[in-house]
Amino acid sequence: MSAPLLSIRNLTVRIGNITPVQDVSFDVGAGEVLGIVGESGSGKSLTLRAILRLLPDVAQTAGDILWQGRDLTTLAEPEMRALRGGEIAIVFQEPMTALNPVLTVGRQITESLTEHLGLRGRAARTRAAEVLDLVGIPDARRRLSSYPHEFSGGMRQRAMLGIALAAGPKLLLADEPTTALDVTIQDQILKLLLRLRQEMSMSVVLVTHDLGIVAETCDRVAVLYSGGMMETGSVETVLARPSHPYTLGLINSVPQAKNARQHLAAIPGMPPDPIDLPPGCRFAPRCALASLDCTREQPRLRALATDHATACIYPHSVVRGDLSFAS
Amino acid sequence: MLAGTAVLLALLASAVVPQGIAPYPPDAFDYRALLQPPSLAHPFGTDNFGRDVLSRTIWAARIDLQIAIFGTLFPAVFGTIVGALIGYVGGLVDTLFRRLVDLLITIPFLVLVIAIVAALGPGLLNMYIAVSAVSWVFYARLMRSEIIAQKRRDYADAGRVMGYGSTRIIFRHLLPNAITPSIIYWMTDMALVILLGSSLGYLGLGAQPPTAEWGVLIADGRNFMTTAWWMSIFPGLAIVLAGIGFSLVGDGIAILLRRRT
Amino acid sequence: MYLLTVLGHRVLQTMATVVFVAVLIFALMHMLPGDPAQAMLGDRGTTEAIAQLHHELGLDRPIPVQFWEFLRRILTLNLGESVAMRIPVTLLIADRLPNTLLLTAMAGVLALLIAVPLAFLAALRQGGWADAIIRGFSQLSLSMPVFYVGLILLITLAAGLRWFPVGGIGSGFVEDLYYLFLPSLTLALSFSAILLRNLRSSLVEVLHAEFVSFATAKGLRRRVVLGRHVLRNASISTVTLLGLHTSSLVGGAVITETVFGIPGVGRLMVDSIFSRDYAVVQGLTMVLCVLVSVVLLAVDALQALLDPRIST
Repeated sequence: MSAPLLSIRNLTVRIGNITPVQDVSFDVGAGEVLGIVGESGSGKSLTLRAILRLLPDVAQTAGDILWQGRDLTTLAEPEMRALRGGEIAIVFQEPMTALNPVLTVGRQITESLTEHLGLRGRAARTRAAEVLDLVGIPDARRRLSSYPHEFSGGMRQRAMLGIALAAGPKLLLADEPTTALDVTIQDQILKLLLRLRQEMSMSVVLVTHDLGIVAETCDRVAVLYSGGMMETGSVETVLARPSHPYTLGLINSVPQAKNARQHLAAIPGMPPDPIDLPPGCRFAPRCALASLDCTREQPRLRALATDHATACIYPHSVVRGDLSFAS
Repeated sequence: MLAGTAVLLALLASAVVPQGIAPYPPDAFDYRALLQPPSLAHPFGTDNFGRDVLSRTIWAARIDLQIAIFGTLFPAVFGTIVGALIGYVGGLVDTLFRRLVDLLITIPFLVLVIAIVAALGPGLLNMYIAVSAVSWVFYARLMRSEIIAQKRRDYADAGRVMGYGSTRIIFRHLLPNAITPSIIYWMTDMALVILLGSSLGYLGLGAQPPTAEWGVLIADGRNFMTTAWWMSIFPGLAIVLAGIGFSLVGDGIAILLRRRT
Repeated sequence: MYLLTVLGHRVLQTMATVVFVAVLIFALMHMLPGDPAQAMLGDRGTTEAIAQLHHELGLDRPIPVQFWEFLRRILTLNLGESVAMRIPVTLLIADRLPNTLLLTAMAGVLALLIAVPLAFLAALRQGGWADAIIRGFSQLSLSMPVFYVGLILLITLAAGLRWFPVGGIGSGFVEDLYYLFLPSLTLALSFSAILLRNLRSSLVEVLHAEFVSFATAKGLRRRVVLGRHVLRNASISTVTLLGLHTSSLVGGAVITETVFGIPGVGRLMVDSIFSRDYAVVQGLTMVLCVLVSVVLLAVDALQALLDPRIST
């Protein structure tokens, strides 16, 4: 595999005396879709924002963030600004709050075009209409002068994507882009993302709590739990041969449509309180495989195979079908 | 919070036992010491009748505190009860109430109060009537929206889970939570009423001279601005102090009550 | 279109307010203990004079008829005659109103000039010492009655340093501005404290809004984000605030005119109260209420212009 576009090593975010992101590492290659999956509170959104240095001043970031070889943590602010939206773009979960309600959608696109591509006036508007067209909004030219509240939910999400991608970035960070949408629209948006990946030769980091979306849309997956990276690898490998009890738990908790009589297998217990983390592996209190060694120190990601890493010290005991949490 | 309580306590003391604190009685003339600047004998100076400004200011605390209490007691109690009922009952009554509020907020509060006092005649009692007649609406509006918010919150759960007796339970649980903003508002309102009362006193429509009231005292000094600035400045400081005291206490109560929920 | 609906609603409300106030004033006059004519004439009233006034005022007719007359007269802009000065109330008000309007307008502008920059400063440096000082100043201002602020300014700047006249009005527009500066400053200081507090908190809210993060995430400069995204949203809140607190501005104007001896409607109001000139008081109250309603109408229109969510 060629050198990754984005390389995160040991990313740690500390806010006050809690560490919502600890020692997170993953790579994103050119043109691939990486899914980061985890529950709420697992630190997924913070990780994305940390990449673009969008966290509030009270948050302290440590670790390496390498974008095409450049270290983003030490980049000067003007260069960081050029990067944001220009090379790496981000979209948030709720388009209604992410878009400025008193500016037209066209304006919100053209300001990005002006900043990054130097386009103004008619050239900018023409390009903006092309962008709206690209994301599948009909009647693009006219809709440039519409306001966000005049769009329906799915259209708004498309508009937000258009605004974010206007300057043609190479990487899109998508923070739960479909969570706030109806299931049918979700599907459309995901297909749109895949099409954009193709047409714009772009990579995508898709943050979600829905393993089903990961299975359908992503090439590779990284599993996040309580701020720590539990497992990374290609989607086929991880879903077929999960090597972390948490991943297995996630897989098992997805209801299978064909089996109507199935027990809904939820992982017992709750994620730990960030102020009061358990010693060693954070998943240990809920893990059926946990031993004393697990509580001794925080296990780190170790490579199992070429593109498969896990943070569990008993990866080979986790075999699909063999181990279940449901009684 | 502490500072606010200290200030209020000082005011309270002045109001309850002015005789103990004030060096002179409020109406003690001293013709030998007219319009004296502040000195050791008269820390706030004397006025055009030779009365000690400090003592008058302290004695005035009683009146102004009275104004704060009587000017807010009726509106607060009446308004809160009515507001709670309107919020709970809703429907036509609620619509009528909202229309009433819309109409009332377009009328400048001061103008309305002045108009009512004009009709009834100047004096403290009439001022209380005038203020009460209008300001209960604000308490009612506040309580109404709180009750509606609470209703929406607990109703679904409490109503269905507990079934019979839910009404009573809702009142027992709704009210304590809903009343917090009203209490905080009461504090700010007391400060506002002191401002209003002293404004009316200044205009001659509230407390009447020779009663010592801070607004009246300031009015007394109006004609001696250039020669005896202390006559107006010091009572004004008392008003400011009282206002700040009430605000601080209000903020403190807000923090305390919010910590509880 | 939406815009017309909103404005139309406001116009209806204005009319309803006028009627409501008319009813209120009428009720006040007639439900009070004592005889209005007697109260109006006071000591000047002999029995014949009272009877005469009774007839003049139509007080010897049944109440509904009186009320109808009252409404009719108001609709034809006949507010009666000042008992004390024997000239039509409308004339009296028309003479004084421009001064009050000028005072209020100046105060409003000054207040915005003070409050907006300070609110921005406080919101941007939230929690810092600038913020604390500004909030302290705001709290202090709020606790000071308007007449006290006026007196302080009078004593220091007018009587003391002699930079400004002690009161009254000039003769001509520019001179008026000079004479009204101190009074407008007084009013502005109090008004800006109210504006400042609310504006600051709405600015803080806007600054933390998701769309500001999104705009920053697009790589826009801080200046652009503040200037384009924040300012436009903030100005909508400012306009809303102005509307909400207009009536307190008018109330403050009444007091300020009294302190500075400005021949405006505020002082007319107070003077009329003392001279028991109820016709003037009635008429003035009506006019002031209508004025406030008109301002609220303008604010609504401005809001609709600025905020696309309302008009589309």
